[in-house]
Amino acid sequence: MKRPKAALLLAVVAIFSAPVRADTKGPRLLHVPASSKDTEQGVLTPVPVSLEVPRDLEARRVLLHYHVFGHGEWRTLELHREGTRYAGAIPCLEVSEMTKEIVYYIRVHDAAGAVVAFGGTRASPYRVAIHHSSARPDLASGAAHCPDPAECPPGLPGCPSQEVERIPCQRDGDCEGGLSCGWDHYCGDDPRRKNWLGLDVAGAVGFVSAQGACSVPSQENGGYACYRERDGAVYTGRPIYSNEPLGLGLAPLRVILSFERVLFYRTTVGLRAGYAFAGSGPTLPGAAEFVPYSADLFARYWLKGDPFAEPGLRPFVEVGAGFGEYDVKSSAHVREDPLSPQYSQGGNDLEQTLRVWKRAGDANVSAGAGAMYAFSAGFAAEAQLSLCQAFPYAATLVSGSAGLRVGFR
Amino acid sequence: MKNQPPIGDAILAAVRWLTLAAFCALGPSACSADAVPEPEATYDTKGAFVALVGDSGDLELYRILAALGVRPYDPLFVVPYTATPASFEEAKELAKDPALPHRMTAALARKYFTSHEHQVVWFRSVSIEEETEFR
Repeated sequence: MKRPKAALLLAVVAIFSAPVRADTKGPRLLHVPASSKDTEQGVLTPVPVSLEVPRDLEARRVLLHYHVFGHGEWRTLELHREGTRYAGAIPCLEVSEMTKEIVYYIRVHDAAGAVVAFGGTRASPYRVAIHHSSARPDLASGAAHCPDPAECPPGLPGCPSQEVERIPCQRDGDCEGGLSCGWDHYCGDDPRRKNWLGLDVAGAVGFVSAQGACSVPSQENGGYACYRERDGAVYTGRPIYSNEPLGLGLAPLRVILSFERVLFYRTTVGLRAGYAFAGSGPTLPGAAEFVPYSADLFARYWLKGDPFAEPGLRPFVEVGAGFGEYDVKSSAHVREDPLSPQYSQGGNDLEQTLRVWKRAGDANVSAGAGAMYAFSAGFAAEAQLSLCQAFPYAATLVSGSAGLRVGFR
Repeated sequence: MKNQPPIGDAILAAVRWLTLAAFCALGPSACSADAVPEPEATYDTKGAFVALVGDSGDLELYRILAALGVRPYDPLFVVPYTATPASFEEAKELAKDPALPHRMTAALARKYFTSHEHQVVWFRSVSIEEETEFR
């Protein structure tokens, strides 16, 4: 025999509480006597719920989530504090005259909205079986009708609990039913994709200093490598330093995989990993080989208000920093010093043009701007232009990239 | 939606920093005007191409391999070329050709150069292979 209505007043009694995981501050399970988890009552009667929350929980709100058989949605009521207890009732009108089952569970939220304790879950709720008076006269209500809501508006002291429209939260785990915790700290159906994977192809044009680029010290310590146009030999002559224009050339093409996380409405951070698949230069004998891999961190500020809420154009500005090598191919006109006492290499004409490779890097900082165009909530294309400064082997690069993005929650 | 903290200043500072870094890295080459005077080869510089107005009035083209420094004539070890350029400019263009036909190496007295009108028209450092070939 199940417990009658009279016992329902204390349907849920939290006498003890114990941590679910001893090593974390996760939600605690409110221990409820087994006899209170499965109860009965008659039609046309509110379902009273009352519980005592341990003081150390620092509870701010206690929410009762209930579901009436045949209704699609779960509804939420806030229990009122009455001394050391929290109490409320599933309204009489929800119980109505139909014999059915009402299920519910309770979650305790702290001041920040985080769930700090719970009794029952959506998957394993408490149950209240509703019986008609003809079948169970012992459960029959004396009034046999529900009061007019106008006589006792929900939320007023002594009246049924007021339905909660928005459930507070601190993280996604505080929300249920496929909802996520929004930046306003309420559970909701957030349309934003907060995680984005990207695949891009990037190229760059680099500017390097050509002054003294082909001297032996520059080639040994400055990241330069110079080759004669005539026979492709490494240049080891004695050039005269003179005014030289900036060297301008292409940097390697890269394929880039990225992950980006939306932190807030208009702020994202991300990580990129790249691989240079074409355009790297030759390596001087004895020098370190070109490292095709690159990685950098970036942060973006999106210029449009709440850009991830809906598809469309999403312009942004970006700053970043990372590691990577950039081989920039250019050329330099050199004049040989005919009077050099150190006669190092034969076959160098008085004047000649050399192919110059600058291996810039390994660190870099960048700033740029671009735009993402979202075709749908989770699919977009993106293009970007950036100014990048490589150091300590200096080069200034203007890089462009284009690619696709896939967003997910 | 909540208000966003202004980051315009931070972006501006980053752009300024990048610009400054670029100028620091590239500035010396872009702005320097103190070019070093270019040293010029002379008629006895190893590797110099010397065009000389011979006794016949025709231009002769030589490449200097070495100044032997042997008294009294102090001869220069040279490669004479078969070409007879019409002008010093043409001699310069001919000298740029690494495959320009030449005769057997010879030794000419230094005075031969100083006593005839001549001009250093080009220079190419002498390789070990060339020294071996001409020897």
